[in-house]
Amino acid sequence: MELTKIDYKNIYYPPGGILMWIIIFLELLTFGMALCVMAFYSKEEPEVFHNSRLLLNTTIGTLNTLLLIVSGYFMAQSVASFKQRNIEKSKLFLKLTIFGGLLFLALKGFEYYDKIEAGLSIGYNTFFSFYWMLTAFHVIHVLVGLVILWSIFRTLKKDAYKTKIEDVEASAAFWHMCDLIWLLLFPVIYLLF
Amino acid sequence: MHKTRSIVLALLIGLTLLSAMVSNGAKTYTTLGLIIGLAVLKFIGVSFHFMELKRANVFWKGSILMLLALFSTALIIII
Repeated sequence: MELTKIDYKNIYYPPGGILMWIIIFLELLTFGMALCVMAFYSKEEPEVFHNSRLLLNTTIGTLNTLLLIVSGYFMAQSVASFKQRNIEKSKLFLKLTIFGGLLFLALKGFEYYDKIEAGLSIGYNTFFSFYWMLTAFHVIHVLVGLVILWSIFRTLKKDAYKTKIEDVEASAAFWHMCDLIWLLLFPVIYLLF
Repeated sequence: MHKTRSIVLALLIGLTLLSAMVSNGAKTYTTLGLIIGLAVLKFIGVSFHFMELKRANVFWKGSILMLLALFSTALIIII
């Protein structure tokens, strides 16, 4: 296990690495601008957006938010345990993080199935075009995040002493990015209109 | 550190439930502002405490807060 001392106060070494933070900023900019465009379109069709928003299940959206928040908490705990050289605890928290992500995907799958069954597909109206594009793009990020976490878990399981703190932190930053994106999507798509 | 993180988790859960409850009420500018405000608080909670941005250089802290301020203001103005 490689625990080099990182000077986080240095501008080039934010927790997770500078490259990961550039990606995070680009992703947040992309999703943020898309949400602003969605809000702009809602001014042109306020009734359509309001009625469509009511067709979404706020309880599922809230549960998904809670799942990602709790999963993010476990990820932070996993990184902290890794830094304390407690590999077993780190692995346990990582497993819980992955489980939270899988539950998120299962709930999202249920929601998508429900919408498709009701005929609310991507071409239904402007609101649902945004809903499908933004949430599906987010789901892809969650899937990629889960693959990254799974690979970190496998490395920890195989040879914890070869795992670098930079890799663990970068994976954690990617997972938290999924959380941050959802924290922008949830209020705008499920609550605002 | 562990205790702070657990407190932040509890706050984030509380804020999420609060925003869901607030959205059930009448849609006024106050409600919209409150929903966006609560989202901003949750975003800060995750980025500063779970991502440990609070330990990072002031440039990164300032950048994320500016980005957040930019989008929340834009959303309030547009809506």
